[in-house]
Amino acid sequence: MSFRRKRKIAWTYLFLAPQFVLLAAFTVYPILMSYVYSLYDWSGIGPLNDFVGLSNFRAVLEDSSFWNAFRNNMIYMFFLTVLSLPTTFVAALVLNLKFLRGRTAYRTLLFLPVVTTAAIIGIVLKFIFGNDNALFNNVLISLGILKEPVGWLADPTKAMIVLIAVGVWKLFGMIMIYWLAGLQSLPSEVFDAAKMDGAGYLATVRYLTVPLLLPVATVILLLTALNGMHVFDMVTTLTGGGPYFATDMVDLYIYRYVFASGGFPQMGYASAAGIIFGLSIFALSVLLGGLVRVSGGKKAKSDAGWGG
Amino acid sequence: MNRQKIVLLPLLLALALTTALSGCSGSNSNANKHGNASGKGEAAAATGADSGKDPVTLEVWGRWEEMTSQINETISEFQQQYPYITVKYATVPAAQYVAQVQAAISGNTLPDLFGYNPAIPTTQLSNLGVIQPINDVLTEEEKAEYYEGTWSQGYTVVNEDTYAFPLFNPMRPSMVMYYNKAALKEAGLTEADIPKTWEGLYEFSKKVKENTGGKIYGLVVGIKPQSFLSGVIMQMATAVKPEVSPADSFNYKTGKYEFNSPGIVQGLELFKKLQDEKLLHPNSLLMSYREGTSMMEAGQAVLTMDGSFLGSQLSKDKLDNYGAAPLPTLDGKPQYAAFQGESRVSLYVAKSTKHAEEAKLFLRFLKEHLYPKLVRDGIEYSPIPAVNEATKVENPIAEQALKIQSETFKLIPRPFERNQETLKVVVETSGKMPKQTLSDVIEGYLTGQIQDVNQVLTQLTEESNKVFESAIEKVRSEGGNVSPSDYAFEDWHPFTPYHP
Repeated sequence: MSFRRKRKIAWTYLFLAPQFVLLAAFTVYPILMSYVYSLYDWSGIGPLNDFVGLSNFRAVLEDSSFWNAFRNNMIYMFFLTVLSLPTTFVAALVLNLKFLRGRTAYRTLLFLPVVTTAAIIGIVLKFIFGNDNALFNNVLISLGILKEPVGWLADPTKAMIVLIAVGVWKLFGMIMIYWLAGLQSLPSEVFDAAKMDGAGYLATVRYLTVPLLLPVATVILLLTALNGMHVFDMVTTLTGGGPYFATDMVDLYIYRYVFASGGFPQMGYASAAGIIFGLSIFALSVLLGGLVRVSGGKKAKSDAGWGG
Repeated sequence: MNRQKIVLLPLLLALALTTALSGCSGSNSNANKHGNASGKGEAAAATGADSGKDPVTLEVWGRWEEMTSQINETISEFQQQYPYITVKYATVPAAQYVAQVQAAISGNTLPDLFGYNPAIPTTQLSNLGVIQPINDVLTEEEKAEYYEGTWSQGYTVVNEDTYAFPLFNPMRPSMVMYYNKAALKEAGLTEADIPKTWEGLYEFSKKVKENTGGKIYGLVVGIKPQSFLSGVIMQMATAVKPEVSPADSFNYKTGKYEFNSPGIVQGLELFKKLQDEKLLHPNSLLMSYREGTSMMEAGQAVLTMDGSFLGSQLSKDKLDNYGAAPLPTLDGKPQYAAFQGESRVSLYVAKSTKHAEEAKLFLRFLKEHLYPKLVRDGIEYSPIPAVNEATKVENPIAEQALKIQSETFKLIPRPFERNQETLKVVVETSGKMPKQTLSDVIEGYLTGQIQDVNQVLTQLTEESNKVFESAIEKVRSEGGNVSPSDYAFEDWHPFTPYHP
């Protein structure tokens, strides 16, 4: 290897070093340490003396509150994904129409909730969905849909519905942008050819857009699902995990053990819960990643087909 | 040529600006060096340098927002008297306090003085060696001026050394009922109608709603995310079964937890009845205690139940519109709030401080100057009865609330006074009690998610006792001399201050 090449490689590593150091300090180290903490009965203060083996993991797995939070996370993630993927796709199709005037303004409006702080949204919506003299109830009463105020956030099912609806609204603009990016990356000549062959808009969407977007769709599915697993700020401010744990989520559960334990923090236990939850997300990512791979393969084949 | 000028001109301007700014910076650094600074702290430091003492900055962390004005006023006076000392006081939000102290302990960056939090008790901080004794701050005579029970093992004192300096009366807070006089009048009622019994509260709520056509509710109590309703119910429950402490639902006669005590169950049933009959303001289920209180202030409900500290936080210009009364009880019998020596509003001196003498000087100054201000503004009684008697409370509602509080608090048995080894059990159980609290059960019951509240409270009792018994066993297995009998006080007569 020439001196010049060695120097080039050295410089490359030098430029990469800050990122590696930061990654190691703020991502790798905390993850590794959470594995260590999970093996101790430790409050987060003082030395790690009390080694308890896997008993924190056993306690988490035996705790019905953990599984309640886990179930809620899955419900939230499932409905967030199922509701937001098709609706945002349709919105992206509409906002991708070349003849539509004011497309940028609509896109910006739909994107606004994404850049608004989730905690602030939670606080504001808590008042909108309140019981007495709250905006949502007042509107429904004035329209004659309701006779008296409904406790949207005081009922377990309704609270979860509100949370999911708010989650979809908050994420809508982001997923729509993903779809738009996908739509705009599609080869225009394919659509021109279809148009010349006399294909209508709906047929084009069905037989060209959807199959061609499949690889992008699986990535969007992965991103949406993962997004649905982290709702701490929204839940904390909107429902607080209530009523009576009906909207409790795993990150809120972990938070309670670390910062609101009613005594010493239980860092070891919370770490074990975090690891179990992290591994579940990892498994989900692998599963959805497999889907991406499969659909990517299809794309490669179809690309080859077009090329041939 | 002209082009060169255009390029050069902004460059020269930038250079001149940079030089000017660095010039400012330079003179500022010189100012620091020579004591000619303009900032408050720097000015103090400067005068200190002039008076021959090195400038000192004390960093203090508190978590009591209600006394911000009084502590700042006191700090200002302190800095005038000791110009070489600058005190930087920060109120850390309660929700972040434990995390911040945890991080500071781990990183060895504790401030010179910091406040107590029950999640990190004195025993643990002293075991970790992060706080230092402050025995020389107060003489024995001065300590004797404080309320009985203030200098309790495990809280302010550990193994004969004093570690915590109390700022507030330790017997706080008790739960109090507040009312809005304008809303009361609008409902066609008078202060004589303020309920004293549970049945009275039910009838009162019905009358208010009927008389105002549903515009005003009788009672509002925010139950989330932080709620005092569990404290309210536990305090009211002492009128039914006084052996169960309102502090932690521990029965000090039997030495066991008793969340399913008849008083608590019946108290819950009262609120459920109010909720089911739409007599409790419907927003109670969605609001925090403070949001609930603001609805009472706005006249949307006549009554609210809150801590004794609320009096000092009500709008100053409308104090005539409010009143305070004791909580109603089942049949009007007396209730009590429990005191065991925990001084929840107190300061520690960090072991790592380089300014221990100045920190102690500051604490001594607080005794003389902060205590009267707290009483004057009705924030809280001071920990010294004589100061409280000598100082006029200028806020009439706070005065009423504090009076109710002093009549309500009683000294109850303290296991650690009988056997100091029980402090190890406190450490063992801390943070390990069931995560489902009485507040959660209240929410579940009021929203209809819990049908059989007795069964849930019995389960909570059993789980709590299990954690408690396991902790005793663990302490014993490690050589500690402690037994369940250390927690049973058969000679205790509730409502009478307990002296073994």
